[in-house]
Amino acid sequence: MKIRSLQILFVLLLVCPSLENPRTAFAAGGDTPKSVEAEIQTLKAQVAKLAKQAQNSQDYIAICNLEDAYGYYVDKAQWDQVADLFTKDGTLEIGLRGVYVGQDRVRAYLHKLPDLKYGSVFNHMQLQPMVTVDSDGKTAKGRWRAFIQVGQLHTRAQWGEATYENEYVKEDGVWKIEKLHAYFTYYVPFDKGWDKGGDPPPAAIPDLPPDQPPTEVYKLYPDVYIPPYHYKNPVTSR
Amino acid sequence: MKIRSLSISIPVILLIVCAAVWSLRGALAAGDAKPKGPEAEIQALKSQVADLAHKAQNAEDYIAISNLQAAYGYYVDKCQWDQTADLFAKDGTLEIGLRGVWVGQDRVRAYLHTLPDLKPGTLFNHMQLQPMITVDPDGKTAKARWRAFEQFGMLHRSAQWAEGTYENEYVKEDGVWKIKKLHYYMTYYVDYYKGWDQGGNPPPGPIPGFPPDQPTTEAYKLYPDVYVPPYHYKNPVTGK
Repeated sequence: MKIRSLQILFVLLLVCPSLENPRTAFAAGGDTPKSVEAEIQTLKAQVAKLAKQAQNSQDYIAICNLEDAYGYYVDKAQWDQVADLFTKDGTLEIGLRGVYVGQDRVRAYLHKLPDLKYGSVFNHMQLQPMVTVDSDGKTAKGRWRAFIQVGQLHTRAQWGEATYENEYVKEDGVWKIEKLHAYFTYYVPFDKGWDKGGDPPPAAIPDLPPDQPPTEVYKLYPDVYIPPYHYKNPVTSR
Repeated sequence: MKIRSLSISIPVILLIVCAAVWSLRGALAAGDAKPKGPEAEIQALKSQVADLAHKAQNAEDYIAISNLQAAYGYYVDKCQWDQTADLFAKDGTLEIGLRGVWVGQDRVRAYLHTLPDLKPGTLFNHMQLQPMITVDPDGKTAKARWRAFEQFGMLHRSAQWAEGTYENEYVKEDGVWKIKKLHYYMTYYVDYYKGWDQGGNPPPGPIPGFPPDQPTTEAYKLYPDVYVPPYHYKNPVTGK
């Protein structure tokens, strides 16, 4: 009887450490530590999700900076710097001037615009980003607006406003402009305001016809036009 | 005696063996650091992942709110009042200038539909600028200060500049950020041809036959008076 109770005690003593820490006992027993494996799998999945989320935010920032950089170069008529922001097959469509296709043609178009010189103002503020990075993280779209002050000393002074619907592509880890489309809302002379009907949009460039006609035909203020949105309503998705 | 000593010695031997096994197991568990190592590393990783998840979510929330307010501005520009109202939470509120507060999405929608329609000759630009967005630590609510720079025009009738400050609140419902409260403080309205040295125009007045649900929460005057709309945040550097 005594011996039996001692035998029970012996078994209990052997089991006790296992009860204390089942996982250690399990591992010490020579089996694969499955719970560790499972936890690592869970962590891996969480990290993958986080990596995507963090990348998405980084892409948003890179695209915002890219469009800002575009605006600052345009302000100062640095046309080669501007063209370099486009992909090789990037397109540019400003107002009703038609579409220039490919970086070389974009560059040629830009060089038709005024140079930076004394007496010129060519401000193009890039404002109000609504940027959507596509789920694969390789392409993105952005709606922006430009608030424009253009002027030539003793010649003219204008306000302008435009909406962009742009597309971006990530090549070798670098975001570039794949498509830039500016829709003009209005141009008005500084001394007349937006109750007098506004100015016509910049005319076609005579010696550099576009590669494609305008993709959308619309009229500037006093007419009204809603440039199509690349996104659905962010709350209703309609 | 012999039997007795034997019967005593068996338990003693068993106890000795037992103690030996016990200490051996203890030594095994203590000496074998590997099982404890991964456990500790997993705990450390879990807490890092939780911290990163919070940061990543915070950045995503900032972007979503920035996009939401930008979307608001683009719809307002083009007088798309139903799309605008749809950005509000069901119990969302709207207070524009000194016109009082409209409470609930339906009332916000009704208010918005009293504003001009988009038709030739209308310019209703509301640029949404300069976000200062604070996502609350629980990630479910947020606040933001913005400004609007505005160009209003009616062909052959009027042209105005306007500027104002928003102090807005947002709520995340089922993973989607919505406007919970929009409060726009007007800084000035000025006639295009007169600029901001002539005293400015009065703000938009009450809407006949459509009183607000609540009176104006803060009374103030537009330019040439000055007013500082309260900040939802402390100085980001000093915390004061």
